[in-house]
Amino acid sequence: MKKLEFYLTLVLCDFSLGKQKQIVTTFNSINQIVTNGYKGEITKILNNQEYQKLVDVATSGKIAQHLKGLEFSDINVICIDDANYPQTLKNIAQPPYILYYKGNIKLLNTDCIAIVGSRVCTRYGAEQAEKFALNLAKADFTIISGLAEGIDTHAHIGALKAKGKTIAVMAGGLNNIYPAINTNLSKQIIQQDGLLISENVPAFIPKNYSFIQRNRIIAGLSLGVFSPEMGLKSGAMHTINFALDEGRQVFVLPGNVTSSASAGTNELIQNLQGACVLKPQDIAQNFEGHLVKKDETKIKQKQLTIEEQIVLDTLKIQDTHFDELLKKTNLEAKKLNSLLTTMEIRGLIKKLTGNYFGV
Amino acid sequence: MLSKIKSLGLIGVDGFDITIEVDLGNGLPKFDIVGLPDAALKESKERVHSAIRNSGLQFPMGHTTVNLAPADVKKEGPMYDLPIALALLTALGEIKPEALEGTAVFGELSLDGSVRKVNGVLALLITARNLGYKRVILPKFNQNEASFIDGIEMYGVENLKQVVDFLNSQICMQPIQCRSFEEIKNSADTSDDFCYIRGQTAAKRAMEIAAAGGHNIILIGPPGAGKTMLAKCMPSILPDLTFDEALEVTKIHSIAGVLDNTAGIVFKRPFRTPHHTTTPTALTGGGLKAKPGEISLAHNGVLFLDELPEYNRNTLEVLRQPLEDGKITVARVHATVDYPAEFVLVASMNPCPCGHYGSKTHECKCTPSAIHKYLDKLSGPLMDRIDLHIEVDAVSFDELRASDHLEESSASIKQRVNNAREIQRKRFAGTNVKCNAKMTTKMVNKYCVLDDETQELLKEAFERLHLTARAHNRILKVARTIADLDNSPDIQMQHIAEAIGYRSLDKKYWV
Repeated sequence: MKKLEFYLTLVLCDFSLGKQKQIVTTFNSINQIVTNGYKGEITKILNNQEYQKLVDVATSGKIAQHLKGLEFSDINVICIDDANYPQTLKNIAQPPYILYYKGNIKLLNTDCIAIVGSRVCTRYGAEQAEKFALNLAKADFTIISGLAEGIDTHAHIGALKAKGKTIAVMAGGLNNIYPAINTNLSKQIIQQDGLLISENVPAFIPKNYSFIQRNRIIAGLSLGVFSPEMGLKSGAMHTINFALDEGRQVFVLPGNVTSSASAGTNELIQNLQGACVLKPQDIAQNFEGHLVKKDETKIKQKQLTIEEQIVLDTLKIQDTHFDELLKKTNLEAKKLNSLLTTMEIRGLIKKLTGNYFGV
Repeated sequence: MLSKIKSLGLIGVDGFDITIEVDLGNGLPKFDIVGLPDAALKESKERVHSAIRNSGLQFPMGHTTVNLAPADVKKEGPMYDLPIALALLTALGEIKPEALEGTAVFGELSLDGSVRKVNGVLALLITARNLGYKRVILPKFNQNEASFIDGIEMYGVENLKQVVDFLNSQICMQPIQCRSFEEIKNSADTSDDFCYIRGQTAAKRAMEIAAAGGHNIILIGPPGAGKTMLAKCMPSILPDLTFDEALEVTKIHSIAGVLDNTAGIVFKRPFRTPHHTTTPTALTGGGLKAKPGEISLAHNGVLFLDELPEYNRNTLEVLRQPLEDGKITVARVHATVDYPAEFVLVASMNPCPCGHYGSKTHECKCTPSAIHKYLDKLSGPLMDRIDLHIEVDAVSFDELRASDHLEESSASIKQRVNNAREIQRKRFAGTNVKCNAKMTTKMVNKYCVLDDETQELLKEAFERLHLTARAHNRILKVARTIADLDNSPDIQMQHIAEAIGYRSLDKKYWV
């Protein structure tokens, strides 16, 4: 308990990660700092103003008040010395001393795979993120991501669809879901026995740097980091760099060379920084005890008509517009329309935006 | 001396009887109009005075009182100038009181005594006929509009002197000749034609269904895809107006004062395109005088809202009730009126603020939240009332220049649409319903029966495409129209399948 208060004081003082680490390695308890006064070692770390702030937070009962507030909003907290705090995270360069969480804390000590990528993603990225998350979650991995828009969202959704485990590491506080559009998703994660964590106080509004700091936790918690789609200057690149620094495995999915959305992932492959994967099994086989099962939900195909076969063959090569299919099949618009809808209902094809169709 | 003359007034699209009473008494010269006149009507004493004087007639001296009965209904506009003048002259003895028996009069006077046009003539005439008047005197300017009414003797007059002479049997006048609606109708033509639009086969088909069944439709696509052009061609395939429908439309247009007087009747289905800065009141109608709005002007025709999300959300939400009920009730201080508003809503929009979301040729630069915000402007309930969603993408250059095959012309599409409408007319004979889109739930149960296999398909579609229960009836109605276009008495599997195809946007954008 003493330790927890020590760490909480540092977090509440809003000290930088570097200063927190220096204080923690130099001192054993908060009392030690307060009773010593502003002299000796502490003067090398904090200026007088910061020291006064520290004393104020430590002695004015703010910690107790803070803990009460946490209880009120149903948020739990663990510190680095807690039994549930995973060893993998402890070993990174700047581990968070405090983790606020909601949900099932045991997930931290399971085998985690992070799925990260661009917020602005293409259909390809979104679909693959969901597919990999779904299959890896089925193979008993915990899917970690950042609850951001785009790839992150789809990774969480994929894991939830598989009824698997998922952890969202947030840059903002737990009472301040960012982006707000994912508030529902965060609730769903809790409902399905998932976990939300953050190193910042619950009311914290994320700053631009907090996303990068968050990424070190994502990399730290996971065995491997997978990026299905990432642009060149994507924030997910930070996660990859953290992962490489911390010796985690990096997996990337190749994309179309003309697609700027896949430029980052393709570059990683070219520079041999990430292992190129093509299917979920390629990731799972690197870790013991996880097996991706073959997709059993193959649709039993009825006998296809000639037109249906033409449509299917065309769409397998690339997404095609309605008018193009019209020419290929030589059908009337009304006939083709009903044909495509029936095929969509049977799950053979998909309707995309702009009256395009794909498989 | 006392005199009474009959005239007519308007509340909404319905007329009512007005009696204009004039009393000439002794006393200091004074001229009063009572019976809730509005500003235009109060000023009518100046016009009447000058008109009578400039027609070479005598204006009464002494204490003159004009009453418009019933006295508790607000009377509007200058159309009572002529009856007031005639009542004054009758009271003076210039006209014999018997001359105006069974006659309704309306018209605005100019200072020189000439009679100017008034609004709402058709509605007034229909009321006059229903009230049993034998003769109506109206401005000559409005005679084209009047000429479609039969069963009542109508005289178009040019000036006050002419009326007085006519009533005193000093000159003869020909009553207005009735014209047939058919001959006017055939002169209708539109410059936009579907044969000028290359490709976009799916969109054209959807427009055809919308026109045939009166379904609301939304076109979604990047800028330059041809959404507006497609919508503008819509009037060219709309089914012909029947005479009764034409009268309904003309009535409203006449009251709003937007009727083209040379034709005198609206013979094409109206196509209204209010700009997206339009206010809710301009759309619904109302204002101080409770005038019909854009949706009523689009009655029996098309209301085209280009760039739907650009409209103020309040403006769009007012559409919800009229889309369901086919009429709008406007309540104002002075009146509560019902205006008919049975229109087909044609809307167009981009899928995102930059317009290129989902496009193959351009990259969309919008953030996911920007797209969400853009689509959030349209409420679910409004989208629920739109039966057909169709996505259009830009046509490639090759397709644009292709000359190997000719596109189908509007005339031949219209032929099919007219046939489908004929089937519907027979189906709904004796009811208020005009087209499939307006079917009640009871009618849907009666006319949209599915066999087991088709039922199964619909069920599967619901599960797989996550359609809402609200979409169910819409799909059935559209399927009914598709079957009608196919001249098929039953709704078959392919009809339902096609109808479902037009709903599949539901899940993509709005769920």
